[in-house]
This record gives sequence, structure tokens and C-alpha cells, in this order.
Amino acid sequence: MKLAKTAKGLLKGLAPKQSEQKTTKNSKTSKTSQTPNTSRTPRHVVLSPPDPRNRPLREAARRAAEAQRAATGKAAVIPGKRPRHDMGHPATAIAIHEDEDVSLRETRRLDKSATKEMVPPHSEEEDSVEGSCYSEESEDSEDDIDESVVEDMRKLEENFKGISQRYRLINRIGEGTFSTVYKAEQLPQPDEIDGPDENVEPADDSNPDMPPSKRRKTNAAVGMARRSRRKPQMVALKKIYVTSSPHRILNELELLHELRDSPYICPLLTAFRHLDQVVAVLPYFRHLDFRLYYRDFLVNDMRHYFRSLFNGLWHVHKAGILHRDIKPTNFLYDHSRREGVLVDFGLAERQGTDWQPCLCTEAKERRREKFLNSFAVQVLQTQPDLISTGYPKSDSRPSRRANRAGTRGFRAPEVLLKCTSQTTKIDIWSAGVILLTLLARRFPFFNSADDVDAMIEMASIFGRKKMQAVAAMHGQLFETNIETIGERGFTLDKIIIWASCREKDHESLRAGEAQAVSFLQGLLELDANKRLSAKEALQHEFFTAPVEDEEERAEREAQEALEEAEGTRRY
Amino acid sequence: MAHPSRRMPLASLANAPNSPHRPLTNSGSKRPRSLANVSQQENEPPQKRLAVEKNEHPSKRVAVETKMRDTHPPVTPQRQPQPSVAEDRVFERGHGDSGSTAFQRKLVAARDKSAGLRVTKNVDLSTKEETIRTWQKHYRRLFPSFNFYFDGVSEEARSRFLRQIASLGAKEEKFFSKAVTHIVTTRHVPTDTKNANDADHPSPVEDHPQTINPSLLEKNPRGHMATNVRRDGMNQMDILVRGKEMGMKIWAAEKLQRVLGSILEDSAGHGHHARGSTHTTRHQHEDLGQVLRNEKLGTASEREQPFLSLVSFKGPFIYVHDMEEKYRPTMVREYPKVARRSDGEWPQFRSASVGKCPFVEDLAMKKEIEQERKRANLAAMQQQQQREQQAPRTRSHMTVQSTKADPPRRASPRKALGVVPNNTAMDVDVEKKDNRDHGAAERQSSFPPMPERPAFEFVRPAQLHMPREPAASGIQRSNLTSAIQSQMISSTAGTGVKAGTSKEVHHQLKRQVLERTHTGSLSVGSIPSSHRMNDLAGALKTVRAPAPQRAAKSKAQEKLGGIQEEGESHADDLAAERAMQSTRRKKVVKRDPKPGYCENCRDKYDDFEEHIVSRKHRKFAMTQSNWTELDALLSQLQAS
Repeated sequence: MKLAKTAKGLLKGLAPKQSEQKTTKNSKTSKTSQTPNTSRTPRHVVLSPPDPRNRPLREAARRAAEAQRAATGKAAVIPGKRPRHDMGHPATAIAIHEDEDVSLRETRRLDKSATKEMVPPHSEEEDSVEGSCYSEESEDSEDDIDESVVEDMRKLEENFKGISQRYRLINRIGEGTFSTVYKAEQLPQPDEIDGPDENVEPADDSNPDMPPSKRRKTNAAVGMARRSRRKPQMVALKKIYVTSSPHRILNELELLHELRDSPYICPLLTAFRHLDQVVAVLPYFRHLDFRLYYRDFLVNDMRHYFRSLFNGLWHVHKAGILHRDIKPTNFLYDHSRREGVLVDFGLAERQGTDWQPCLCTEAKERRREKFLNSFAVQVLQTQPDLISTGYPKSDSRPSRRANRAGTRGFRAPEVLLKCTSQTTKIDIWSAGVILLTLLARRFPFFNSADDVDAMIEMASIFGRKKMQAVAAMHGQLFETNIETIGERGFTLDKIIIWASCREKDHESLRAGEAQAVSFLQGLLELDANKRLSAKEALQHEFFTAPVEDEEERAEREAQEALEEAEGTRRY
Repeated sequence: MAHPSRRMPLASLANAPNSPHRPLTNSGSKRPRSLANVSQQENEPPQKRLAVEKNEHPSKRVAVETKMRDTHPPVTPQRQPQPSVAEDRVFERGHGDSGSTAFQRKLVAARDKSAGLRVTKNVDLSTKEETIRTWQKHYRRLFPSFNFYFDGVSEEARSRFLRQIASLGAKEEKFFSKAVTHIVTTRHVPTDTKNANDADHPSPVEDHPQTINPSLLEKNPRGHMATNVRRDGMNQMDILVRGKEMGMKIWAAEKLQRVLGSILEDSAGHGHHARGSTHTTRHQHEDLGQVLRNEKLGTASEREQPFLSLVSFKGPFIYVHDMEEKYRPTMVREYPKVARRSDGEWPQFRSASVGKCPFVEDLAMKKEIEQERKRANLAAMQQQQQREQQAPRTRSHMTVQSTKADPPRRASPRKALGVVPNNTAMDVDVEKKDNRDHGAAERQSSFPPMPERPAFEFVRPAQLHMPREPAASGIQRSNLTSAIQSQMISSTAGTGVKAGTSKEVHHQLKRQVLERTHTGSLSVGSIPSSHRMNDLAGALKTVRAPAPQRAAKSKAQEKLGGIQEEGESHADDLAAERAMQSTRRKKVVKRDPKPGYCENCRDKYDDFEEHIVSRKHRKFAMTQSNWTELDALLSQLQAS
């Protein structure tokens, strides 16, 4: 139903011939089966929150799409998930999503070629693990391709010499501040490569050329690389905007290269440049969009997710590198494999870059003394209510400067406070925000339109006292009289109970959740010095001695049984 | 000691008991005289000065001094027992501190202050404040005529002094000459002029080091003053001696520090003295600000700047600022005052349906709540109307009525929920136990109500399930100014929105279409609660939002249009819109210019596409030398 013919036509024009026919055929198939399915889904939403009991119904709906599904292996639902606390119904949303995906010809082709073996022609369960297929960041799951995207891809192919010989761009799968990421198919390379891009050639064979250890890891973890000579390999082409300085690009590629040995980090296959345009080639990693599952992750799922994430962080941090932009989008998680990879080191930096001593690096006593004797504190103590009455009007003092690169809502307090000696702990905070998101079942948890908003949001949780303390650590005074910022704030338990909208009988955390919250406390610790390190995090009992109550176990087992059943059927 | 002729000028004494009257005469008619007084004071025996300091500090001194203090010559305890009765009277806080160094006392004072003892100890506050102000005025008037010569003052201290005295209009004389009016020294000041005749004989109490050989001193950092070389007599060629002979004032460095501190900072710091007279204090600040501005004090020290002029907080605010006030505030934002905190614009927990950001008001949920509320209102109204007039009402009439009673506005969920009878607001108040010290000021924090599952089983647009993902921002490289940076951030916000929105809107649109048959009502998107128009990024978002929406919409329509053969039930709904599509499409094709910052050209641009083909940019791209480093890595990558 939503085939943008023009867009498609355009793309076809660009795409190599052989894939074209397939594409057309596929999209037709999908069209027919899709329509009824999609229109049914919303009704679903109305009628019932999804729930295991509804499964038959959903399945029926899904069967409609079965035939073509078989071809695509498409399904985007995490199995065994019962949206416990939401009215929403992730399943339905996912169903819609999934249906769209179905018609995505590239995906289909991809699936066919790359994941054939995992997709039996006949699968009963739609919401299979396998289904966590090549779902993309939002753009890719559109069944049509945005005209502007098509235009951009065409431009890239036209302007970047040689690229179209090596890769066939499929769709945009991500757009960031400094780059756009396209999914592309690596074309089989005849031996002749023309022109100045000779050096690019290894790109196609880069995988084989990689150190064996890396290759293995890549193939295993990255799940994309089940390639045979014949089958096209999917890659992610990261087009780094030409407005980025060579230095920044160098930084990113260098760090990625340095970190290439971790299975938890998306390896850099190769990269090349044409004039000012640099394109990095990464393996395409199968993953689900976070927004599809954050509402119904079991605590057990969170364990897997975070074990993988913290392993990645550990590796990054061990190398003395700050990722600086940890967020769900940058951690591609494949639920079926319980593995994820860190991507996007565009903001990463080595710890110590632009480092200036901040008060927080001093011993506690010294810090305290300095703070109490500081000018502003002394002045403040002269104020009747111990609170400032105003701020300077025309202020010509310099601004405090510190790297605050990152994504709103995920910035650690010390980043907001422009600490000049930031450490890898900022990534831990961001990971904590992800966990908070999952536990509270709200994404994004922080809106944080800007840093001030972010600070207020943070203060709404932690309260004034703790915010004052953390500000003081970094040599600053935190003052506010905003009513909704309490003196003591809330415990994270309270926040989570409140935010996840329990039913009356679930006013307390369950055992597994409680454990997750205690872990969360170690991550969302305002004092970076006390915050867990990645290594410490991995040693937390959340991973080492998991607990769960009966209900949680039942859920987990149901999920596992389901997965297993599917696994046996599928493989 | 207590000799009348040696009495300190009251004007320079913050808390002299009779100061309110004295300064008037002093500063007004007798300027030369008061100048003399100053020098007199300076030449008083150190104990007395110390006593003065001791007294002054607790009452009005602040941080800078604390720092200076620890390098000052330590005050030996044996000097303490000698303060005159008069001084004792004057320095109400003098007792009990004996034996401590100035620095220690400073710390004590700070502690006292933090403990809130201070205010209670200051008895005649207004009197003192009056004195201080008069004194300050006096000195500010005098300062421009001062020429300082620094003797043995460390470079660091000197430069700090220079900034400060410059801010008050005084000058430094680099070389000792007749032009000098004040010598600032880190050495002990020779005995007072009164005893000029016995200058060579230290007064009986001063049986301790007085001065040292300047040649020794010159290289000494000021911190070494503690190890003063003892000299019993005055070298006649000593600058201090000569200066004194030439009628110059000789100030110990700490004296200057104290004076400056009192003029500059304490003008603000002493505000605590004047609970009842804050307006005068403020006036004072502005006055000082005026002075400083008149002095064209562009690069004034960090100290006085905050007081140039304060924008006072009127509503709820957040203010995060540097403890040394060396930087401008890390954050400062004020919000309009509101009667109910839930009406506040600042981010706060809101009622939002599950899955959505808890800091953003959930319009879908709000709508639901309002519907509930309307229903309740309607019911109430119906009852009332039935009572008032038994005539039957038409449905439309009632709707109008209820709308009137319930105008569409940004009602808070809390408020709205207040009317919903079956609402179970979940107020978690963790702070009730904690009210002790803040009493009324204690904010009661609680969560806004969240929906219970059954209560809000409403249809939710698919788009709401796909929150937009924020894009990274905040890169700060040394070559970026903050203005550029904010520009950059906002531009990314713009693109981020575009990227995120199109699909959401697409979803929403589809859903809208689908739902038309089912419910007919739809809430569109969510508006960040803390939307501030003066927030650049926010404003930009607002401005830009429509465009992608439009684009996505027409695209979706196009899609929908393309599948007629499938006979979608709602295809009709789109027919009209499709008619207008062609015109819209053209707009879509013309892309939104994407503004941003080019790190390579170090330029802001309004349109990415335009910029990257500009000559400057192309030149950068073509210059091989810009890329050598990167190319080295690339070839390494390609080889591996």
C-alpha cells in the first residue's frame, strides 16, 4: 500500500539490474498480504492489550502474512514478552512495523541471501527470535525510501568515485549529527577495479583480509557475515559529513581501529575518501530498534543486554577511551543472539584530552575546604536565605569550557557541570540511563531539551541536596527554588514504581527488579568517583548472582521455551 | 596605645560604635585630614592593626582575604593581650580569638557564618552598614588620586592589586618618585609618624621584627615574610623611611588588600548586615557598577564583576555557578511564577502514559483526562440545568457549554485529575519526614498521577510508540565559539527532528487514517513541556517541525495513493488531499536548507548543500595536505 513508486523507480535506476527484478516481485508479494494485516493491527490495539492469552489472535493475524514472511523471515517481536504494565501493546506496534518491513524489498533480498538458513519456509510463530531480523533504525523499515534519501544516495554514488562499483546503497538506516549511515550491499568484485579508487578494492575483501580472530568475531557477533563468495554481504556505510574536520574523522577511525579486537565493538572494515568525503565501512549488524522492545524487556533480558554493553564499555575504557555517546541507538543489540555491539565512535576521545584539573580530582577534605572558603560560598552565606538573589546582568567573564559532547538526556552530571576532568565514568552514567529507561519502561526517560532542562530533570529525581553536593564536587554552587525539586528527591525504586505504572497489587519491586535497581544505583551515582566502573559493573551481583521471583522466573522460562521451540523448528 | 592621637579614623572602622556621625565630618569636609588619618592608622603598631583586622573580618570580610591571609605574617600571640579597652569595646568579636592567626580566625569566621552565628552576633547592624558605606564612598572618591608603589609585593599579588586599584581609578608608579602617594609593602611598616623622632626606636611593644633589608626582600616571595630578618633600626635609605619622610602613606600589603576588599567585595558581602535595607545594598552595587564601568574596566577582576549589576530572580530559578565566580554561570534560568507548580514551565514529572517520557506532558493522556473531566462537568451541568430549568437541552448546546466551562488550555494533569472522580492519584511523598529544618520552605515533592492500567486503555497512535531519538550534540572544539556551538546544536536538533519525525508522522498519519473509522479523535504528537521560546534549539524545532511533517505527510499520501488497487477502505479520505499533493510535492522536493557549522572552513553556514560546493570549502577539500594524516590511516585500514 505504501509503495512510493517514484522513489522506487529512482532507486531501481540506480540499483544494479539483477536485484531489480527481485525487488519488484517481492514488493508485489508483500503488498497483497500486507494490507489486511496492517488494517487489522490497529483494531488489535483497541481491543486488547497483548498478552499471552491473545497470542492466538495475534498469530492469526500474522498468518495472513505468512507466505511472504517465509520469504523474508521477518518478524520483529521478542518472544515471550508480555507487556505487563502497559496498555500499549508493543506487539501491535511491532506488528505494524513488521508489516512494513515485510515489504522492504532490500530487507527481503538481504534475508534471502544472508539468512536463508534461519528462515524456514514455514514458520508458525511470527514473533520469533529470528524475527528480530534486520530491523533497522527507523528509516529502513519504511517500505518506501524517502525521496531525499534516494537523492542523497544517488549523490553519494555519483560523486564518490568507485563506490557504486563496490556497494549498492539500499537505504538510509541512520542519521546523526555528523554522519548518515546507509545500508549497502557489498557487490561481488570482479578483479578489475578502475581508476583512482584502486586502493578501495580491499574493502570488499576486507573481511577475508582481516585478522582471523577479528573475522571470526565479526562473523559471530555481528551476525551479518555469514557470507559465502556468492552471497552479497551487507555493510553499513557511514558517510561522514564533509563539514567534519579531517582531524575529527581521523580520531574516530583511529579509535575504532584501535578497538577492533573486541567482539562487543562494531569493527571498522575499511574506509576510504574521495576528496572531502569520507566513508567508513562497517559490517551491518542485525538488531532491533530499541523503541520496539524497551517497554517489555524482562529483567533477564536486561542482564544480557547490559552484560554485553558493559563488556563493550570495559573494552573501550580499558583502552582509556571515552565513548561519550552511549545510548540505545549506539548499541546495536540483537536479541536473538543476546549480543550487541557498540557503534559510533564519532564523539569518542581519549581520556585526558583537553584535561584540566577540576576540583573533583582533589581529595575530599581539600575539596571541602576549598569549597567552603570559596568566594561564592562566602558571599552566599551573607545572603539572608542562603540563596542568591540574582545573577550578573552583563557578564563578560569567560564561560567554563569543557567537552560536553553527547546526547541530551544521556549526559552525566559532570558533563552538565562542565567538569574539566571527565573520565570514562560518563559512559557508565549513560548506560545507567538506558537501564532506567528499561526499568521504567519509558523512552526517552529524560527529555532534556538542553542542559538546563537536563539538570532540572536530574534534580527532580535526586533532590537538591545531592545536586548541591555534586555541583560542589566540581566547584560549583547549585541553587534552585523550583518547587518540584525536593530536598531529598526520590529513591530510584520510587521512580521506577511510579513510572512503570504498576497495578495496585504490584506496588513494590519484584526480586529481580530490585536487584536491577540496586545495580542502577551504582550506575546513576552522581559522584563519578563512586560510580561503578565497567569492570565493577560486570562484577555486580546483578550479573554474578541473579535473583528472580517466581513470576519473573515463569516469564523467563516461558520466553526461553518459546525461543527454544522456535529454534528447533527453524534450524 | 589608647592614646587619643593614635585613634583610628572611624571612617575606616567598620564597626566603630560612634561611626554613624563621624564619617560625615571626616569624609565631607576634612578630606586631607582623613587622609592623614589613614596614614596614621597605618603607622600604628601592628597589634592594633591586627585587632582591627580581627574585628573587621568576621563582620564583613569575604573570601579573597582568606586566601591572602595565609601568606601574611603570622601574628604572634604575645601581641594579643595588649588591645586597649577602647578597642575591646569597638571590636566586639575580638575576644576569644586570641592566639589564632588571622587565617585561622578567618576560618573560624567562615565556620561561624556557615553556622549562622554571625547574624545573631552583629548587634547594631544598620549602624555598621552605614559606616561601611560611608567609608566605601569615601575611599572610592579618594582612590583615583592614589599612586601606588609596590615594595616587595610578589608578582602575582601585584597583578591582582593592579587590577583592583585600576578598577578604582588608582595608578601604579613603577618607579619610586615623588608622584607616589602610597607605598605598599610586605614588610612591616615602620613605626608611626607620631614617633617620627624616635623612628629608630621601635615602640616598646614592638620588640619583634619590623623590617628587613629590602635587598633581601626583593627576591623573597611574599610568603617568606614569616622569616623576617630582624632589624632594630631603620635604614634611612629604606624606601619606607624615605617615603614616610616624603609624606607618603605606607600600607602593608594586607592593608591594601583589606581596603580593596572592603570597597569592592564587601559592598556586596555586607548585605547580610542589612536584612531590612536590601534596597540600599542593591543601590550600592549599582553604584559600584557605575564606578567600574566609568573606569572602563573591561577586563576587571572576577571578583567585582558579579556585582556590576544583578538581574534579580523573581520566579523559580535554577542557578549553577562557579564557586570562585571566575566563570559566568554554568546555568541560569528563571521561569515565570505560577500559582500551581504543575503549571510551571520547567521540566517536572508529568502524567504520561506508559512508554513515554515522564517529563513531557502526554497530550494523549491529557486528552483522556480532559474527556473524563468534561464528562464529569457535563454531568454536573446537566444536573444543574435540570434543576434550574427543566427544559431539555440539545447535545450541541451542552457541548458548547462544557467547552466554555473548560476551555482548552494547558491544564495540568493534576488539576484535571482533581475533577476526575475515580482517579487514584499516586502521590509518593518521600520527604515528609524530612521537613524539620526547612519548615514552610520545604518543598513537598510528589509525583503527578500516572494512569492505572485499566483507567487509560485508550487508543494510542502508533506514533507515540516511537519516541524520537535525540541526536548527539555538544561538540566543543577549541575553535568554536559558544555562539557557533549553540548554532550547531540547534542545527542538529533540526536535522534530528527531521530524521526522527518523518516516520513518526508517517505512522501517525497512517494510523489517523485507519482510526478515522474507529474513533475519530486523535492527538497529535507531544510538545515538550519545557519549551522555551528563547531556547534556540527549541525555537528552531518549532519552526522547522512543520516542514518535515508536511513532507512526510504528502509522502504518505502518495504512498496511499499508489495502492488504490488494493482498495483500502479509507482511500476516499485521502482523495481530497491527494488533489493538492502535486503542489505540495514540489515543496518537498526542494529540501530544507540545513544550517550548521563547517569545521574545515570554520564558518557557519545556512545551507549545507550550498556550503559544501562553495569555493572556500572546495579549496579545502582539494588541498591534499589537509588529508595526509587521514590518508595514512586509510591506507593502513585498507591494507589490513
